[in-house]
Amino acid sequence: MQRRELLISAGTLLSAGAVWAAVRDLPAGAAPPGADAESRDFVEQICDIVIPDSDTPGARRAGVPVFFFLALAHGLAGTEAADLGRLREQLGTAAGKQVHKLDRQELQNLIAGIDAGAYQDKTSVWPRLKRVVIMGYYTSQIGASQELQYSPVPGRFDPDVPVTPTSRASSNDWVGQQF
Amino acid sequence: MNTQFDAIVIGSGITGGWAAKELTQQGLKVLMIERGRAIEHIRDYTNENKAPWEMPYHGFGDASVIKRDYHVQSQGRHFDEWTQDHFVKDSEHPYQTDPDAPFNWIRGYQLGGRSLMWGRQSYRWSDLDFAANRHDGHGVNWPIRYPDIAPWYDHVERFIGVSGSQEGLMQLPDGQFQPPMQLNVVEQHAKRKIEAALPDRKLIIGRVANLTEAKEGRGVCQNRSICARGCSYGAYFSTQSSTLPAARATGNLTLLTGQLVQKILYDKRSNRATGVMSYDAATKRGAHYSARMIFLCAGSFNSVGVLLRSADGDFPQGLANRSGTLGRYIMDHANTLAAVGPVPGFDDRTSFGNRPTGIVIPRFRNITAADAGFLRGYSYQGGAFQRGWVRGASGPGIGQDLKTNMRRPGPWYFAMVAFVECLPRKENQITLDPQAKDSEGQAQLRIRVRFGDNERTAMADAAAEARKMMQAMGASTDLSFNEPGTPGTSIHEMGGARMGEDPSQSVVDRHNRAHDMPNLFITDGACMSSSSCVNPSLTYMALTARAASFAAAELKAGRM
Repeated sequence: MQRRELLISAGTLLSAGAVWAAVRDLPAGAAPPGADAESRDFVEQICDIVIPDSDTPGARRAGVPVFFFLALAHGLAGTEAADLGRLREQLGTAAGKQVHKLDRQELQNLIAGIDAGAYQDKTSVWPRLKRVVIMGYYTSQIGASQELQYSPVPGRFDPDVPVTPTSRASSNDWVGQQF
Repeated sequence: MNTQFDAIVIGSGITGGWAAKELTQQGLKVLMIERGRAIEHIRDYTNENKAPWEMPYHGFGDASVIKRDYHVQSQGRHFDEWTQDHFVKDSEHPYQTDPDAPFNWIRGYQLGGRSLMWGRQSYRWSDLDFAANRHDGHGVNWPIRYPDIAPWYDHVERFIGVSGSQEGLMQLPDGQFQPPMQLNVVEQHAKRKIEAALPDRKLIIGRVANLTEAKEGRGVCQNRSICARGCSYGAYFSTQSSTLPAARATGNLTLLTGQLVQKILYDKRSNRATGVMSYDAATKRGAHYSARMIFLCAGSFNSVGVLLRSADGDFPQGLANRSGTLGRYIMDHANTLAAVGPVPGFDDRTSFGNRPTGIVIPRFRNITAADAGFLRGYSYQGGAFQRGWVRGASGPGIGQDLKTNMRRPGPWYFAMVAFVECLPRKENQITLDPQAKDSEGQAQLRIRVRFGDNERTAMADAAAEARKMMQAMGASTDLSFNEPGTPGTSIHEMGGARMGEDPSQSVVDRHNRAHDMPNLFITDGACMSSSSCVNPSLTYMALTARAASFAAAELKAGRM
């Protein structure tokens, strides 16, 4: 399976297992670095914590973990492949035990704490890793077209539209995405 | 194939397409030579309709490839994963700069050139611009004035389709516009507030080469704002959508792609350019084509490069360079983010559709009198927008709260980008590097362009005035830059073969014809003798159409 096809299928994800099966099918040399079972589980949890399921699927079910590894392997948003290890180390130090021994609530609390302080800490890897989750989610088919409104051919411009309780942001407002 | 033509047009971008259209419609047999690959309208817009999740990197591109191959090109606003193939690889097409004078040279080597991914902003120059050099003594006097070019602006606007509003401003002449696009709700508010508080200025919708009415087989703009991918509706002006079909329809056009023009050939006895030598990178074969006239439309810097590389015994400093000004007086608009910040009070309003233009605040400095501590002027482009989901990555917030916040339309912001006129300076120059070669074995261009005190003073004023306008509309300013960005970033590089009356001071005459030989025309941005503060492409097109009309008439009169 080619990488592009993999990502298309990731966007229409049915189950996380299907995605990881697809990752295993990547040609030699194309497998996401660091994608061992423990790392995959860790990233899936991060995705769930950053953007959880609600009335729409969250980041994990939208296939963001696959995008996440791809992004880190290629340096998207200033990331490096080693960033994941750095985050695990930071979390482990804060928790006083290894990350894989944390239960879900402990991990969520730790990440919430790191998130609250990371934007004043220039050395933290968290802002760029969270950015990758957000980028992956709102450009996935689920995030862009179920969670947000995706209108690839608007056909018109309405300059003044009331915001209603059901209004959803546009995922293809290209100007808004630059800021 | 035939190797003898009435005219050879070098380049197929905005001006090359126009030269080919006008000359073929005059009945001339024309060869248009493009160095890059063929991209056919609709068929080859391979990424146009893909959703982000259908792109390998969700539209962001492979960051490692971008860093390696597109580090300059990716500075352009229209560069992304969808459009990446419309830009050159910096790694394959290098150029030289000095450490103290960086320059972002953003290019597309393909059929249609940068017309495929240009910004489409289309503005007439006024006599404030054409008279500026004479008025303050910087640069050579333009030998033309607004009345000389106005009918050609009409001609071009009617053909390409420019949407815009009639405003009656002397510094930004009205034109043959299609119905304007609309200001959004916050821009309407900003217009009221700014114009009431600061009566010397106007806030208007951007004049843009996107159709609001269908014409000649081209559909109206669908408000997608993904123009640089190529538009199957043909709703914005490009070579592919507009000038190339018109030229092909005459039956007089021969088009070659993948052929790099290395040199324009010159015959001393007749004092004429006689043809071109080209090189096919794929086959490694050279070729020779002859014509009775040459239109050089390779893009400002590459046109200068062709002339410099065409140096011979009669023109040791570059073809058509007896003046010694070839390659000098290079300009690009100094630009920066003059102000951006939130506009409160509109959380209950949004808009629908992606309008492919913004707002313009035309020049208001030094109009009727010298009223500023600098020469000439600046204008702003920008507009009101709602921050998108990316704001979720700029600060704390995770979980359901984050998701709920991102689902709602974001807060309104207003941005103003200042474009400052760049004075023509002799020391801003492109030359051939004596050592470095490009992938085709040609000498690389060495670009040395720096902004001066006038641009910096004007930029500081633009930033201060932008903050005043933000205040007038009730917005706060989060960011405001006083200093221009890296030259080249406006992608308005121009000059190098400037127009003037005096052959000892300029390269081309009032008809864009080389002073040094009567059958060589340079009609792209290289011919510009000053830069104004508005986007230049419409003026390049008008000058090209005007020069083509003149050249065809000269040919028919037997004077070529």
